Amino acid sequence: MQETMFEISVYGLPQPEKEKLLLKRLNHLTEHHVENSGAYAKIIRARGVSAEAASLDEVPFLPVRLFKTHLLSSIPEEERFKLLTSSGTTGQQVSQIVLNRKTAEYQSRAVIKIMQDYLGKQRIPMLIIDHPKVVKDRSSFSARGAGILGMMNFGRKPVYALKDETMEIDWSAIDTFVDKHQDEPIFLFGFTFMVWKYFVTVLEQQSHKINLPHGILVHSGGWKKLQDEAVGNEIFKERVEAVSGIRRIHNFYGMVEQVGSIFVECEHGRLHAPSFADVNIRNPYDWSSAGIGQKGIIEVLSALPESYPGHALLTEDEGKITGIDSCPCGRMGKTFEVIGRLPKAELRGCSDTFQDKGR
Amino acid sequence: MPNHEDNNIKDIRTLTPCELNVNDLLGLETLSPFSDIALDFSAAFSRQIMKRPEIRRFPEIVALADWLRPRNLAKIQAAYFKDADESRVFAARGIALHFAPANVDTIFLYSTMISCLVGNINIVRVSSRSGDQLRILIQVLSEVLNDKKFANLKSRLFVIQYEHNDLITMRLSKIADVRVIWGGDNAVAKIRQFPLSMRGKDVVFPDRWSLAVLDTNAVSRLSDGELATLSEKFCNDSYWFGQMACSSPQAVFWVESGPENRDVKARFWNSVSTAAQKFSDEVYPVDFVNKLVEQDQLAIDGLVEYIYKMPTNLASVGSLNAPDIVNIHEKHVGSGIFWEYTLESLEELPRMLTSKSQTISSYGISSERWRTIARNHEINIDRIVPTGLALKFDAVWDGMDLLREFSRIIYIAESGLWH
Repeated sequence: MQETMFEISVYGLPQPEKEKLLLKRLNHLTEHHVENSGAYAKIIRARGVSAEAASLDEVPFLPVRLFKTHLLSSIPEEERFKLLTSSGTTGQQVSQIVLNRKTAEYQSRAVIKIMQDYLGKQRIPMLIIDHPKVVKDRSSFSARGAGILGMMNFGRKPVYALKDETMEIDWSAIDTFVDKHQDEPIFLFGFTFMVWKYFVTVLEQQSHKINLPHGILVHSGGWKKLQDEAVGNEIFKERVEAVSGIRRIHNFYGMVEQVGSIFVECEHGRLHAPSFADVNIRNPYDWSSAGIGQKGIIEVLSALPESYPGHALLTEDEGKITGIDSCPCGRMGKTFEVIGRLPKAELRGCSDTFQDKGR
Repeated sequence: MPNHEDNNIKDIRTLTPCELNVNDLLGLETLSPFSDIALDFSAAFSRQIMKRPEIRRFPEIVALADWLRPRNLAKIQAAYFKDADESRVFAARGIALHFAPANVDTIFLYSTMISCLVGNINIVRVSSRSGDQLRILIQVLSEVLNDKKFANLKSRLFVIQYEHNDLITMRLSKIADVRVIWGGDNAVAKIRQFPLSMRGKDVVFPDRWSLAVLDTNAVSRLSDGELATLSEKFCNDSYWFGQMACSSPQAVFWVESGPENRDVKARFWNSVSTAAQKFSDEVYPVDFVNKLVEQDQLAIDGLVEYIYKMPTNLASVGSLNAPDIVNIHEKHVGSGIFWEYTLESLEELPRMLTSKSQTISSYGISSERWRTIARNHEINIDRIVPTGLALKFDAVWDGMDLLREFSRIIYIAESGLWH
């Protein structure tokens, strides 16, 4: 499937056909990782499961947190091309993802296939809702820097909307950009929280409106901080449109542990699984797969990871399937909704008068 | 006393009816051990708890109320005075300062009540993050203290709260004759930095772990009904407090001479899985994920022989190829995760235990057999109880007789030495 997965239409396959192709590839990956990652092999052996799954549902999955506690690699050290890390806040453990050239290339090809479906094949002028310093130091890349760099492949002459670490808006840069490109399609990208906090709310406060009716805003990075302010996707979209005139707004769900296979929100507000990835909702009580509309833990499957055993990962997010081959936008496959992070359990037991134990 | 210390003391909130005034405490007399007032107070506290339906539904609180009943205290009192003879008179130590754990947990109330019964003046610091359960318990305690009969106790029992403040901890420690520290290694290490009064002593409860020891043959002989009863007891030991209490079993050691009988174990774990359904509301989605992470981490460490395929995720069970209990204890996430290991004989057990091992809950091995082991081997363990009683509090806890720890002995030369 390695090559065909990039040739077939990214949202064109009905679910049953897609599953057949994906299952073959994922089974191959399970076997590949058992052979090449000692840690992965030990897990599979302990669980006593077969590497040859009969359905996507049976592909053995790893909890994504393992990438924070262990460096899981399926390549010899000399093949290591890049080490991706997640952007954790201070004190938090970060994920470490080992890439070789091949997997890195798969990842960028995958993003291209997906984004072209929303942005078209032409590169269009790009406005990045962040500051230039995030991508400057290429040796210590955070997920934020890597995300921006990846997306720069789709834009032309990128302009940064913020000045520097102060997150101050660079009005002269924005005004010049808007004047120049107001009447053509443009691509805006930023992390959800950055877009909200340093762009939308600032524009609102300063009542400085811009008008980009042909703008396409793509954003990602999680809703946690916005949910604390009771801002959901609908409010987000309304207020972005109110300050900027942008109507095409696409959130996407993705993670550093599966770069490339991102799930983008369509015009109808649903997240779509592309041809080389899928999503499965698991019932935490027994790991069985949940039906349409049933809440559970999100598992993500990806055909891309060869350099590390991350082709089937159990996230720590809750979600539900919203449909299969049924979205009014016409894209095939599964659609889903992310509900949020799994709620933390309360602290129990005789331990710790003064501190919480990291759980 | 310098002024800044007084200022800090003002940040203490007293939750019981009598305001804590540190200077007043110093001249206050202690009560005699097992005074009528302390016994009546315990009985009244027990009765009032049982009258409150909102807390009566918590089994651990019912157990506390039960423990405080006169009949039980009479037994404890008798045991306490058994060693009193003409040369030994027991007395209270003075001021006891207790640090309760942050999370809701009733166990520190036992040690507080024991200290109260032997006559000490008690200051109990509870966390401001404590939940409703504790709030209601303190409310009940205060109501009882407000009864005129208990005026002498009201001025000797203070439940307090203060935000993390080393100066307050330091000030209170300085006057404490006994300091009781619950809350595990971190709490013990942190609070121990502050000196006690010259004659003061610490009674500490650092991190501990516990295990179950089951005799395979005995379990194999159980009928389905008997097995269900055993599993129910095992689940009560394990799932209360989310398997995070010091006495909750984390490991299960099977004792099995002869060829390994995997069927008996599989049958037991299936039965546990069924019995655990009683606790299904208390295990959250994130707990299931945590247990999967723990299993995979130990597998990567190479310790796992196999993971059992269970009907649900309520009980997560793995078989070890090496009894690396220290590693398992460090990774333990609770909520029903068990690691089993098979011993050929009980004599192998002592070398698997560490200074952190606290309780063995056991089935199929007689108390006489355990006494023989304890007498003839150096064994790191504090309690050995039948399955089902792992969490049952006793005045002997963590290797200490708390009644003794909280009191002092006045030696009076025996009659024959007098002239």
